[in-house]
Amino acid sequence: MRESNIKFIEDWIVAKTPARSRVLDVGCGDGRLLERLVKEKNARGTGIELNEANVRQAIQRGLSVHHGDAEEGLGHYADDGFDIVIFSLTIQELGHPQRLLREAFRVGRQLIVTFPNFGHWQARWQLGVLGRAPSTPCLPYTWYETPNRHYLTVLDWEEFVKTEGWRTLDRAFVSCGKMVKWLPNLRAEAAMYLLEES
Amino acid sequence: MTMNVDRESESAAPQAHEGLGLVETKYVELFQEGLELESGVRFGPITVAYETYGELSPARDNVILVCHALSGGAHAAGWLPGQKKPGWWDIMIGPGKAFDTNKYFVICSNVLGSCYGTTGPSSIDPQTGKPYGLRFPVVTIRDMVNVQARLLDYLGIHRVLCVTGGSMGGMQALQWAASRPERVQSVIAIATTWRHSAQQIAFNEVARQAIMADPAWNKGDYYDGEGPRMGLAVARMIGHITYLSDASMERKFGRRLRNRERYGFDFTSIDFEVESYLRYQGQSFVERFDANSLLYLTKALDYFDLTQGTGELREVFLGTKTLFLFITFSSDWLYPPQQLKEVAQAVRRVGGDATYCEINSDYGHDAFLLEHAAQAPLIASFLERAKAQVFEGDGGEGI
Repeated sequence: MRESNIKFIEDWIVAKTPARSRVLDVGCGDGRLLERLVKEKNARGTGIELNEANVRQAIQRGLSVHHGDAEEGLGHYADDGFDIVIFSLTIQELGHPQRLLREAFRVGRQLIVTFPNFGHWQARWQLGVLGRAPSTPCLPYTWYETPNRHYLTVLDWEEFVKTEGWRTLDRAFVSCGKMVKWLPNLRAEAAMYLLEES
Repeated sequence: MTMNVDRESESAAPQAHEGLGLVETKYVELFQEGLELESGVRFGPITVAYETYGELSPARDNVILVCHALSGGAHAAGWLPGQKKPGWWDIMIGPGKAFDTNKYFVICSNVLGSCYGTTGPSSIDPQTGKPYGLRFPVVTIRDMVNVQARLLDYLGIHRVLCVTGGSMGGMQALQWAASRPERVQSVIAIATTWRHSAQQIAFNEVARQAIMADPAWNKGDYYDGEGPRMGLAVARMIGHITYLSDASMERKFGRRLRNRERYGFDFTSIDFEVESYLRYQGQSFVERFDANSLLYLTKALDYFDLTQGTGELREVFLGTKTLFLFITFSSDWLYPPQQLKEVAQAVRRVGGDATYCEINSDYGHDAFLLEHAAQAPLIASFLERAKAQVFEGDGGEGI
């Protein structure tokens, strides 16, 4: 994912997080988003991260982190322990995103989910016209080393949210670090959603 | 449970008197009225050996209590006059180190039942004028913590910024958080567990049997002679096997032979390097540790169960305001990572703040003393966070 998109996504998440929220970041990486939430929003934040180097960096940022596999579930977090649970650019790499997202509503009131849009025109062009597995700035992997296990588009996600009976409180789309307003499924490199259970 | 002083200081390669420079072990006699032990026995007075490093802040809010492991002592850092090696955790404690003595006031005391200055089975029983031996009462991790708490009272310290330790020291740190949460702002527990498992008890039982099967043990009454040297050495060998890992043993020794090209085809000489290592560790331990202390301390480890038999770890941490950092090592099979992970999960489940990190290492349990470069930055940043956090554990009343 391009840095400009990541910056846009982080800014969006920070903007959507009310001050002093209790936040869980699933797949928090090196903790740079969490650190912003703690510093800029006085959030009480904690994260889960699988990669040891990332965990170490997050701890060195002064964050509270769990080194472990989110796939093992969120059973060790208290019911309603968080105002917001964040899955930023994470769900496409999870084995069972549906199960984990549902569980997230046990520990948190709202969810923020962001993901790379596999419906972007470049991906469609490469797959549909050139007949090649997509490798684009927002999907920069070869087929044999990609960490992505699920390929979803904006339309797939919207339908999923509807089936689960969740409510979209807010959403935004980005391409090259800029907001995308129309034709998001074709033009957005990444999508971000703020959800709650209806 | 390791305190491999010899190897640890080798790897640190310290210059004489660097870091903290010369330090001093102090002694204080506490519990004139006696301490009621977990067993119900009242015991006292108790002499406590302790060392301090750094300066206590005027607000008395920069205290770090370091708890040592099975064979450690109060001498955690710096140099004692005439000694060639610094304290057992010198690599982590000192100016600019993880436990930075420019910022923090670090205290380490020898545990009850040990043989490094605090009252233990080799101390003189004032009633008989002879060493206690088995007349010394059985003590627990909880009892050790009660003694440390009284030491802090004596030093005029109510609340500590952090209690920390690895192995048996980690158990004391956890016990502090469990039984005196209002006094503990944060805990760093390393390579330890919340209760001894069957396997951990089993290793300790073999160690104890090795000592007690030595005729020179003489039911613990051996202080006028050499004592159970062979038994204690074997006990230590067992310990050292559990401190290493298959991978680290393979790398360190493999099947290499000791000073020979072929097998000796006998039982009196040493064939393998690993045998030589174990014998050396056993022998050097005999010179520096009391066999009865090993019995008492391994018993304290085996009795350790933070939940006191209920297994309900969450209840132990209900309402906790203490910040936790848990560090484990991937190849530690004596205290497998899963056990501290369970503690981290219990703390979180009751809404507490727990950070957990499993460091990838093939040093086994010994990693706790060897992987200092991996641990130091985690500890330093965690302490900064603990210091910055307003502690609500004692209602904000301070001392």
